[in-house]
Parts: sequence; C-alpha cells; structure tokens
Amino acid sequence: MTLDSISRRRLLILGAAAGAAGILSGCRRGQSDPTTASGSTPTGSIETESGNLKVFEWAGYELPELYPDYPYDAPKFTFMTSDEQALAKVASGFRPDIVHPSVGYVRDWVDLDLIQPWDPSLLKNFSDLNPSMIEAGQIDGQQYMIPLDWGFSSILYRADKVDPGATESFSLFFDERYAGRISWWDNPWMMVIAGYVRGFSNPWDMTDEELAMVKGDLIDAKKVVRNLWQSQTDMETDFAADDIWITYAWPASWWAMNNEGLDVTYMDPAEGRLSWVEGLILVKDTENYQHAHAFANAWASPQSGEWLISNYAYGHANTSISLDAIPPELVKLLSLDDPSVLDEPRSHIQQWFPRRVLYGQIWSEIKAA
Amino acid sequence: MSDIAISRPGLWGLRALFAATAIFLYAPILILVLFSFNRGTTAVFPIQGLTTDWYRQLFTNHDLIESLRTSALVAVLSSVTAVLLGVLMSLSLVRRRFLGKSVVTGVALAPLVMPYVVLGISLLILFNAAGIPLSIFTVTIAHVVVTLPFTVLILVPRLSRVDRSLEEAAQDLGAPPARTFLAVTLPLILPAVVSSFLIAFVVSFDEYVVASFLVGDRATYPIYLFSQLRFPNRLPQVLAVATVMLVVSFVIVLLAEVSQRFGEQRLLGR
Amino acid sequence: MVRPARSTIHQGSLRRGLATLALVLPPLGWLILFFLAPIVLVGMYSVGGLTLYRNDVYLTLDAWSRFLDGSVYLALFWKSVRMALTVSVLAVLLAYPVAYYLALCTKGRKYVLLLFIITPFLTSYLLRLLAWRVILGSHGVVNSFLLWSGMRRAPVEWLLHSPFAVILVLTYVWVPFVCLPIFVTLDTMDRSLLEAAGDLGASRWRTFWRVTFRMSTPGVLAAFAFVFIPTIGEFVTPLLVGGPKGFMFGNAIADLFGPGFDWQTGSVLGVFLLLVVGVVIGIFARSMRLSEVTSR
Repeated sequence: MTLDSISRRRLLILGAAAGAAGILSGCRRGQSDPTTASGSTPTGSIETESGNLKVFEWAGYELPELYPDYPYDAPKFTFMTSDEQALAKVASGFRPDIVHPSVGYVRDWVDLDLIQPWDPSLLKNFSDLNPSMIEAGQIDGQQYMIPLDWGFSSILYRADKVDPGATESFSLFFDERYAGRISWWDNPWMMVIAGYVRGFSNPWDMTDEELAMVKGDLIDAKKVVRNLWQSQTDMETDFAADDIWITYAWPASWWAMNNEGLDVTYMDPAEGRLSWVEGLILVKDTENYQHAHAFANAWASPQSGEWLISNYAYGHANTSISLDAIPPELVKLLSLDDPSVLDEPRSHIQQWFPRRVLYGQIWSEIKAA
Repeated sequence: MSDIAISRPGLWGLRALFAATAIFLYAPILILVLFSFNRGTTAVFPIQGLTTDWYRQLFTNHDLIESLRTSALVAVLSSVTAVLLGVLMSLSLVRRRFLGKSVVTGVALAPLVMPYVVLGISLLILFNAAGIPLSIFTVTIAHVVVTLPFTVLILVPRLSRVDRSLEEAAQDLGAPPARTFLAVTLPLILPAVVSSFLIAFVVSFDEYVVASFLVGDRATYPIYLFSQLRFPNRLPQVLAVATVMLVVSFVIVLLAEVSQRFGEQRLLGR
Repeated sequence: MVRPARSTIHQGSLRRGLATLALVLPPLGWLILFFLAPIVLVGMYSVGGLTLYRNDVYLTLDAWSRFLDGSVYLALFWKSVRMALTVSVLAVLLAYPVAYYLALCTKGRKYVLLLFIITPFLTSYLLRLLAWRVILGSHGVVNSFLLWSGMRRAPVEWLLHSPFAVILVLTYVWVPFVCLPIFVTLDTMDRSLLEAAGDLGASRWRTFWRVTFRMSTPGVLAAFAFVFIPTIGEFVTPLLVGGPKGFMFGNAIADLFGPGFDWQTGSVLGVFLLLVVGVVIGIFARSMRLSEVTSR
C-alpha cells in the first residue's frame, strides 16, 4: 500500500508538472509581458527611465557620429543582418528598445504586434524629414517608423576583372564565367532580383508559377556562388581580399572599396536598381520611451545626415541638409540631391511582401537545395 | 602479450600511426598558438616576427571581457545547479529503490544524445510561449539541462563504490539521513563532486549552439568569438584569447581528471 | 499495541518514500520542464497546434506531408546522413589503431597517453574549428605555404567552404573521443584468448580478425554511434567552414528558427531529426553491449 501511495503521489506530481507545461504553452505570448512594469504609455519624465537603451542595428550604424549630441549614455548595440532576421529574432523573444528595419517591413512588425507608434511631437527634427518618406512610415495614421536613411541595392563588381558585357544586367549574378567569384546576399531579395531578370511585372508579389521559375533559376545558379553573405563586413572582407569580384552590395560598400583603391563599379543595371528607405521603430513595452525619442531625434539631425552621406554614400531623410560639404561626384552618382530617384521607373523602391512567409520559405529551400 | 597482439614491424607501424594521429590532433592547436604571436594580421607563411602585442590588447577589449564575465556567470550558475541536481539524482539512483529507475536514468542521460540544435529550438519555443524574454537566465537554464548528464555520469559510479556500511553505521548511531550524507557520504564523493563541477563548467563555458538560440543582449564568450571571426584584422586578438582559453580549459580538465583519480585512491585506500 | 506499530511502519516507509521523492523530484522536474515539455511543444508546432500568431492555431499535417513528399529538406537530410556516415567511418578508422596501440601494445604509461589523446576533445570545440579556418583559408596557412614554396600558383579554393572542409574538421574533432570506447573494449578483453589462439597456431593477423576485432565490435559500434548520431544534426562546423555546398540539415533547422522565420517547418525538421536519432539509438543499443563500454 505504501508503494501505491508513492506511485500515486509521483503520478500526481508528474501530472502537475505536465499541467504546468501545458499552462505555460497555453499562455499568451508576452505582449502584456508580466516581467516589464511600465506599459507602453509614455512615462512622465526621462529621469524615471533606466537609460540603458538597447538598439538593434545594422553593422556600421553604431558609430556615435550617426546620433550626434545624444545627451545620455551610449546605447548598447546588437547587430542585425537583415530585416527577416531582425523580425524573427524579436518575434522569438529578443527585446531591444529600438530596431532599424526598412520601410517595406513595418506592416509585418505591426501585424506581429511588436512595436508601438512614435510621438513625433517629441522629435525636434521631425518636421525637416522628407514628407513622402514620413508618409511611407505611417500605418493607419500612426507614425510607426521615423524614416532616416535611404539608398540602393545593386551589383558591385571589379571593373578590372569583370566584363559585364554590352549591357549591364543583374544576370551577372548568375554568370558562369565568374564561377566561384560571386557572392549573393543571404536574403529573399535575391528572388526579387531573379524576378526582374526574368522580366516579371512585380517581383515583390509573384505568382506561384513565377516563384517556381525563380526558385529553379536560383537553385541552378547556386553553383557559381562562392558564399552567401549575412553581414556586409564579411562581404567587404572577401572583396578586399580579392576572393570575390561580383557581389550584392549597398552604396556604402562601393564607397568603402573605392576608398581602398580598388577599381569598382556600382552597377546601374538594365533592369533598374532596387532601392530602400530605412528608419527606426519603437518596440512595445520599452522602458526607455523618452530616451528612444531622444535617440531618434539625434539620428534625424542634419549633422547625422552629412556624416552618413559623406562616409557611407547613403541618402538621409532630412531635407535641410546642405550638400555643399559632400563630394560632388558622390552626389551626382547617387542622385543624393534628388530622392525621387528611388521611385519607379528609375529604381524599384521596395514594397511590402504580401507573400513574405512564402518568399521566406522558398529562400530557405533554395539554400537547402 | 605484445608478441601475440602485434609483430615487431607492426609495432613500429602502429607507433608511427599513433605519432601521426597525435600530430594531426595537436597541430592545428599549435598553429593557432603560433600565429597568436605573429606580428602580421593574417595567418600566412612566412611568419613575420613575434610579438605579444595581441595578448596585451586583450586587456583593453571591453566586449571580450564582458563576454568572458557573462560566460563565467552562466557557467558558475549552471554548474552549481547541475551538480546539486546531479547529486540528488545520483543519490536516488544509487541508494533508493523505485519503479521506473531505468526510465529516469534514460531521461537524465538523454540530453547527451539529443542534437543541440533541437534542444536550442525547443527551449526557444518554451520561453517564447511562456512570454519569458531571452537573457542570461534562459541560457543558464538550458546549460543545466546540457551539463546534468555529465554530472550524473561522474557521480553515479563514484557513489556506487562508497561502502554502504559506513552510512548504515552512522544511521545506527542515530544520525538523520541528511547528517549522514553531509558527514559521511559527501566527503567521500567530494573529489567526484569537484570533478563534475569542473567538467560542467568547461562544457557550459564553451557551449555555443544552444546559447546562440537563447541569448539576449549579453553575448557569451563563444558567441562573441563567433562574431569576431568576420573581422580579419581582429584575427590575431581572437587567436590570442583562443590560446589563453585553450590553456585554461586544458588545466581545468587536467584538474578534474586528477581530482577523480585522487578520489579513487581515497576510496580504495580508505 | 498492534496499531501504532503498523502505522509506525507505514510512517517509516512513507518517510522513505518522501525522501526518495525529495531526491528524484528536483532533477526530474527540471528535466521534465526544460527538456521533455519543450520537445512536446516542438511536436505541437510541427502540426500547427501552436503558432507564433496566436490566432492562427490550425491543426494540420500539411507541413509534414510537404516535408516527406520529396522536399529539398528531405534530400538535405540524406546528404547529411551521407556526410555523417563518412565522418563516422573515417573517425573510427583513424581511432582504432590508436586505441589498439594503447590497449595492447603499451604498458605503464597507458592512461597518460590516453589522456593525451582525449584532451583535445575536452577543450574548446569552437577554437579547434577556428584553427582549421586559419589553416584552410585561401589566405591561410596551407595555401600560403603552397604559394610560397611554389607548389601552386593560385590558392586551392575547395579547402575551405566545402563539404571536404566539413568532413575533415568533423573527423578531426571526433577522433579523440572515439578512441575511448574502443580502448575500453580492447583493454578489458581477456588476453588469454589471444594466447589461446596463438597456441592453436593462428597467425597474428588471423588472431586479430577472428578474436580481437570480433570482441571489440561492441566498442567499435558504440564509437560509431557516438559520432554518427550527433553529426547528422551538426550545425556549427558547416556554418563556419561549409559554405553553401557544405550546408547540412542542422543548418536548415537553425535557419528556419532564425532568419528563415518558419517555426512550423523548422519544428517538423526538428521532430524528424529526433525520431531518426531515436531509431538509430534503438538499432545500436541492441547490437552492442553497453555495459562493456561504459566501465572504466
């Protein structure tokens, strides 16, 4: 009988443990996270906040020159490698205060209930920002993203080693003559590029048949690829070491390789470059509401823009920036004085992926094949 | 015996194979150490002169020191917990009778054969479902699961060799079970306890896979190391810290081994 | 009186039972909560019983059928199995002579030499990976040596970021560990059998095959299993030295829970891997005698 009572007790306790696991799994995920005290309502004064701001940023954007005159302790930076990766990580439970994604994904962040709107009245520099970019960062009238930087995505290639042919084209990514010297970005945007190569009308929202064709193209072409880069520092390292001659890149890499003395060209392909706008979003339930706004304001300043343009060859959303300090060839090459260059038909400004999940799945399969 | 197992020329062949394998095993480690003293920033031949600069730079690398501190904290917390739980588990397996012992043993050892990727994602799912944000505590919890089997594997054999008559004598003298454990059993298995703590510590400190899924904004040392592999000009520093950590873990493992042997002598020569 | 005696006995057993519970429960509870329950959750994710989007709970076997019906992931799984097999065979081949030498041909310094062989395994895995990156890179030790000595005019590209690198590095990592079970089996083997075989006129080679090798089979199988099982799900080595061609099943799982952001498919792959591991363990546990291998 004692044995019975032991077994019964043990069963009871095991059952309770299993039940606890069941309760845990049935728990709603932490939007109303019980571990954070402050809600998303703006707290009174900045002194009540802890001040250790956590920013989820692209590598290279952690430099203090980009948030000049931010009066508080320097934030702690963790690095994101792509919008998909950032979205996945924060959805999985990583909790920064601020993230720096591109505008085409804001709707996904809102749909996953991960972010809260900014209060533009707290940002002194807000009124100087480009109006169409501001509008792009709004969902249902709420300002979810403070637009800050913009630029292109295209091919960077060694002009002294690579002959792109009569017309420059994105198909250089698949060129067998340079097998082993090509690097792609580890991101579904490669599918968009393949879609433009195929001539599809809207590669940001392809049909099943179009997706199947693009998937096939990329899987076939994978053999010419040396590696898929996740962080642009990896890619720049390989490029500078002469291992890679053709790569997916943003203007900052072109400018950096140029300054290293390499003979590089930032392609303007027949299909048209891709373009993007990025900015800051505010994570829900952040403890540092006021600090976050101060940080965003610092980024939105004209000084930040001048540094960004001169050093990274990206555009900045602040329209009051004087371009006199910036090398004119840079301004001309990237039309830095004219943000309308981002739009059709001169470039393909990124759009929200209605089938983002499917694109992600297909990209994962392309990698696994 | 040697004549039966192997012939003369065969013996020399085996010796050569042994030496070759030993060289194969240690060469990369030695190359690592060698290039940590290299003056140049790339690991290429020929060596460009020797320097200890990279080692000196380690002391001013805040991110590195921070990551070492984080890893040490996680390792200590998880190892202590794992040893405590391991002692409890071992006591129950060796000194107690109950149904389903083999199942419990299986569960206790199962993390050893579980692919760490799956362990990582399963805990990510758990913490996500429970709304627990990722932090060093989530990593610590995972590391207890990872290291518990090691402690059990070390403690159970030791415990089973402790003479029960000692414990029974203490109990006959009126000592309650807890006292018996603390006064009699524990001192006898102490070397194994120490050894299992050291092994758990080393395993947790170096663990990358599970940590990579569960870490918050404080990087552990392996994660920091991983992130530095992208920067070629930081390679020599990485090599320097790698050498230091290799030596340290080497020493710790030797200590654990010595501690176990010492424990064995004590048990036998009691 | 009879009553008190019985209740005292019950009390005693009860106390013992409670004591047992107090011992078993904390560790077992920890494992149930943080090891077993999460696995159940993974299973639930794989059939849509749990999702990241709270409103989207929708039980379905779609993800499973997509996976099993000739998907790229299934092909990737087989590729990983092939690579794991190669690594396991190579590791055992390299480790056997070492274990043989230590067990049967050395006296005295046996355990010291064994420790010497095993210690690399107990030191940092990531650092040993790093060492190989340094050695195999196109600007690494091997290539710079080849160029400097004039043996090649251009770096050998396939040394790194290739399946070759993955297999080489994984074999390197596992050889020390694999020595141990083989050594134990050989070391505890009854030597008189060897002498008897010799007395009966068998040559050394014959003795080896018919006696020694046969008796060491449990150890060899255990060693093989110890390498094969974790290597199928290996993820870090391919990530660092594999390149796109060295991509393995574990990488796919990590990607789907990382930037790939598809927890359901990732869970399917994870559960599948666990099932495979379970089956392999079942096969091996039957064909090897564990007790011979774990005693030291």
